[in-house]
Amino acid sequence: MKGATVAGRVDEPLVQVRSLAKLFRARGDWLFTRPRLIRAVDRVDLWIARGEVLGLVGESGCGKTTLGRCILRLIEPTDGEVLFDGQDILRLSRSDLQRIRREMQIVFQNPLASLSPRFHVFDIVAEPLRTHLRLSRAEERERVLALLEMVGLGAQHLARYPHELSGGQCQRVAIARALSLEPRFLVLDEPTSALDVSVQAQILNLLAELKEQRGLTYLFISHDLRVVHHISDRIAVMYLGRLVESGHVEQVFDRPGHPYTRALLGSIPLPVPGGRRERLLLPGQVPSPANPPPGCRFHTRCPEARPLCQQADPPWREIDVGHLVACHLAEGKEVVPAEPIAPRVSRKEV
Amino acid sequence: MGEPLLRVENLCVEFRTRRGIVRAVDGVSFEIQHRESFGLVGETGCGKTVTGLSILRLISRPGRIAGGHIWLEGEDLGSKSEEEMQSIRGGRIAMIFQDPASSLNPVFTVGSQIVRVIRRHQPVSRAEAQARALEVLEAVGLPDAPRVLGCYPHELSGGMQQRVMIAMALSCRPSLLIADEPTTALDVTIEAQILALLRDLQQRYGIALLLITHDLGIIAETCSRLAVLYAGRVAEIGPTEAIFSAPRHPYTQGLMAAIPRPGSRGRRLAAIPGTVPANPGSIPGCAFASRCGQPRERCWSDRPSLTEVAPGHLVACYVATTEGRP
Repeated sequence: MKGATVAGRVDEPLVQVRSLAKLFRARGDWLFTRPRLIRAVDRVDLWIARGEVLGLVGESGCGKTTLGRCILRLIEPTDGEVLFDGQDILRLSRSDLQRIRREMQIVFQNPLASLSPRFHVFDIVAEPLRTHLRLSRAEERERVLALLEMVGLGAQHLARYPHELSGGQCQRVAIARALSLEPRFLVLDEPTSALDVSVQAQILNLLAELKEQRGLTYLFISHDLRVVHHISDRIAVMYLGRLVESGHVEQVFDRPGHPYTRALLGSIPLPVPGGRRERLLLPGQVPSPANPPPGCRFHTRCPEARPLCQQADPPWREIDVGHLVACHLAEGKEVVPAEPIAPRVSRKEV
Repeated sequence: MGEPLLRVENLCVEFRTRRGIVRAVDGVSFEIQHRESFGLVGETGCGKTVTGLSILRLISRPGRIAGGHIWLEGEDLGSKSEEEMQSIRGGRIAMIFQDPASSLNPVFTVGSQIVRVIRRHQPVSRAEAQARALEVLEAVGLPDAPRVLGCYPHELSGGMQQRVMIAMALSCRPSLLIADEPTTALDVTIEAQILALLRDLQQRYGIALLLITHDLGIIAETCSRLAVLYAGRVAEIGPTEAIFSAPRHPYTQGLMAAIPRPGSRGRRLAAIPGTVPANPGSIPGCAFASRCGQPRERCWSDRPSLTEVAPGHLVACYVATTEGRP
């Protein structure tokens, strides 16, 4: 593999995020009032192992898209570290960043908005190649055709415009474009949310196949727990800018440790008549990230909240091997979540 | 059973486009009984929304209702004048839509919009209408209803806006509520709240519900009967239990298999190959034949009609009706 990077060891996670924060400045309510700060991402720690799919779930406005973009440095984070293969990409120069971007790509939710309407499919897929590589016309065409074939499209689609394709076909083009530089890491931001179930199934199958064939690592962002459960190895649950739970899929889905996760799981409409699992209806709305509640962010809607929850941030506790929960009511050893539990990598803290 | 609340018979809706006439709804028939919750499920472009709008005669040019009848308690809605339709809309049939923010008027307060609906349909004073508005806002579970009355729509969250829409729809005690993807724009925890509210109101006030959605999970927990639409036609119709336990149409089977569920993890999902035909109205045979795993000769030339396979469970498929499971 890559021996050149200092810390690029195989047993180390491919992506490691440490206390990442992103503050947005929102206009004040009146012309001369001070702008408010919105904590879209509030000290998030996570890691993604090589060849793993980490599912990031949460409701709209919880900061999951911002987090995904900060990890690729498409948005400049306010604070924190993002280690990609051991390198802190937040400290890279423009040209180094450009080089490392080949290794990390993104697929967006709405393919019609993320594909240029004035480009043919051929140019859309060829553009990253032209930016990063010097290929002859023939090589370029060959690469593009191979990429399209890989995502289930063919030469007949080369000269089409995005509006001439269906939603599923557009998403295939977006995936081909993302894979054109043979990245190792993909951020998939709600890649199937705009699609019908039958087409969603096609795209999920394609993503799973590509991951196997090419040993890819995914950060799969979605609000749809059924989809996340299907494709992910591990899950991280986000609420109002913070992670509240992370762990292996079975741990999080079968033995959810955070009341919010339990409520989310109980809200999934199951395709079984009369078959909603635990009907735990959450009262109220998600508070505004401009004015988050003190203490545990979830206490305003939590059915089990105690007085302590209003005062103190809950610590991370390990309730099972690799299963972390940030809740005052959880039982387990307190941990610092930045590092993977096993294998633990010794490295000096920055 | 007596006269159903709503009877849709052989409804056809056409749209005139640059590429000629497209049939969005192609012979849809179903009935909704009083107090029943009925689901209409299908994917994008299957004609489910257009069906809902046609019931209220809200199809405008370039679309038109090209054929069929809609009866409300035995009265043919097609023969009503525009004035009569206006008093039916909001009065006897109410409808809520996917995006509550664009359904509410941004420049009027919530209270004034509800009062206007009430006074449009019922001869009551402003004060009485105000009291009624407060009552319906409380009925839909809005905390602090008196304050919400004076709010503008943008001051409310998506879930609260949808509650306001439901309150407005209920304000004149309709006998049928058409809900077109009422929770698609909402988060799951809010979606669960709204669905629980719809079920509760439906039982409390004895309103019939026509729920239009793409999500089979929502149908499963809300409706007692459903129709699966494909390419503007009814593929399968029957009791929810029967269709979910033994779907007979290959399209229904495909839809159910495509939903990721606990047992499907790590396995391939059964995707339906291909895409929906562009102008299904021009297809002589079964509209699903090109994506069906087991089409017969006949499926390409003759259009299958709905055939009963079990009491109240009808399927439009030659394969399912000739040699379906026992």
